Amino acid sequence: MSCGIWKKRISDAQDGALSGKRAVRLERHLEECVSCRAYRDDLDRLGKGAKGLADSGLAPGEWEDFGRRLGARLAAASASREAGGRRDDERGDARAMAHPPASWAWARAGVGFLLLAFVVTYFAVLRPRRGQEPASISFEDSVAQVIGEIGPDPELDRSFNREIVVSINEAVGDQPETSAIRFDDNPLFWEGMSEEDLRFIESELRKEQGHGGRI
Amino acid sequence: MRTKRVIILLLACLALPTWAAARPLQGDPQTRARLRENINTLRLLRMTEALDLTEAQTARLFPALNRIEKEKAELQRRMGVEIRDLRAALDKSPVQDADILVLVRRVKEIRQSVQQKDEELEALLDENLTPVQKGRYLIFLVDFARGLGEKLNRVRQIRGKN
Amino acid sequence: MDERPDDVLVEEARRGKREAFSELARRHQQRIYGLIYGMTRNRSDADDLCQEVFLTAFRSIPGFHGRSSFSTWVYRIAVNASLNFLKKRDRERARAGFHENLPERDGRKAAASSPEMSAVSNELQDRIEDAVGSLPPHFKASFLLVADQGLSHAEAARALGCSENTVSWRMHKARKMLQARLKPFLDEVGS
Repeated sequence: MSCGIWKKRISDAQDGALSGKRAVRLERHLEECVSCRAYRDDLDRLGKGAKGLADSGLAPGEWEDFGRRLGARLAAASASREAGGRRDDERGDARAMAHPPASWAWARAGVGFLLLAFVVTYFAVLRPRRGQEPASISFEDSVAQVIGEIGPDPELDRSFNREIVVSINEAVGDQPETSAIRFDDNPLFWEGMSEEDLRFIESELRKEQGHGGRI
Repeated sequence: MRTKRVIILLLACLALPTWAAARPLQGDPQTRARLRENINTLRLLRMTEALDLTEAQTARLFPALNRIEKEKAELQRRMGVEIRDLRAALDKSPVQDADILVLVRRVKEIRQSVQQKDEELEALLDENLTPVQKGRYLIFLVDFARGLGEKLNRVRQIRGKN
Repeated sequence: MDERPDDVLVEEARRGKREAFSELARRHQQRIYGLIYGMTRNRSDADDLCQEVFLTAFRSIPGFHGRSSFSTWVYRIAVNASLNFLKKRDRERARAGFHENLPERDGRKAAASSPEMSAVSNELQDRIEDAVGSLPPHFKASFLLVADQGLSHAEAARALGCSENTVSWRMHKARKMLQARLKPFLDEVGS
């Protein structure tokens, strides 16, 4: 695994989000890799400095004052809620006097049915589907859903593609410039390749290594 | 062997023509194809991390996963053409039943082929992943799909700002 | 000292008992204020926003069904309020010709409250503050919730309304950005 992935693991470990076996493997890697160890040490120092960032430094007296002001606002909100409730009750009484109960019950039932019909239609048909939890876990379906949401919008397509490319570059991570590429010590590498793929790799390697290449 | 470098090169071989973000838009199907390939590239990179794939696993899986994905993309492209033709045939007046049936049969055949590709993918993963990796793969698919949705929302929000 | 658990207080607050809500607010106000202050870096704005957050929570609590904890729910209100505030502030600054996303540091922290802080030089501390302040809003929110407030990825994901995986990646990216920016100062402290 490259250091790019180990660094992500180090970040997860800082948050206690790395499970047993992965944590053990990380510790083993840190024993061997100077660069990752230095990164971990930097994050440790960063972590210490980050604690207390949100410390406002308010004195106890200032907290009491905050609580008092909030209390006053809550009281005002509460009073306004109660006043609104009393007005609704009064209106309800007036209505009850003006209309006989039977017709009011029919009217309510009718409104309820219409509301239900609207809600069902909305959720089944009208609601814009934006970034919802995918119902299916097929990769094909998730790609199709995203592409469907982009629709015929070339600008959105371009912007989204840029986001994906940025994520690819980040996932690739820090590659040391001097890392040597040696494919020939793993015979399995070649087994899945077609002739066309092999020729492509050969030409890419030549371009990358300059003159002639070593395959 | 530096696995990540291998992976990059593998993916570059199989997706490089569409990876370069600077390419001008050349029309809908091509931009779609480019986006699909980039999403697939990201999927494979994230999968390596999420599943803790070994070098041997990546060497076996990635070329095959890419090939299957390319084949599915081509099937989807053909499906798009057939659906378009089907729509046109249904809009004709009078509707020609024989034409409709031919197009319906073609769409069904393509759909079956896509399903076969999915089965091939499942078999490949079954052969090459440990039980834990298989479990992680299913969770990874959900997380990856959700991540795509979140990215799209973010892009929309940024566009909304500008 | 009221020792009733949060869920009991929430139930009473839902039934309209203001003193129950006031007790909930008292228990959580420092952390919520801390988060908002971390986002805005301005005491006066943090004070106003924090009051608004609790007022919003008070008005909405009849509809709170306890699917998450009360603190996660209020964190979520606070995150949304902070992000909206920052968006509005950035727009106003852009209109007024300010282009720097510089965090304000108003004279505070007369006494360091956390023992860890005493291990870090004052200069590094200021730099960390500035660097975190300049993170993009969603990264800043994730970082403050997890690295400062100590939430797990799952809890932060609920507060932020995103997936746990997204929180994990944002933390990784935020740390990479911070480490790259602060490298010379981190090295100084290390040596």
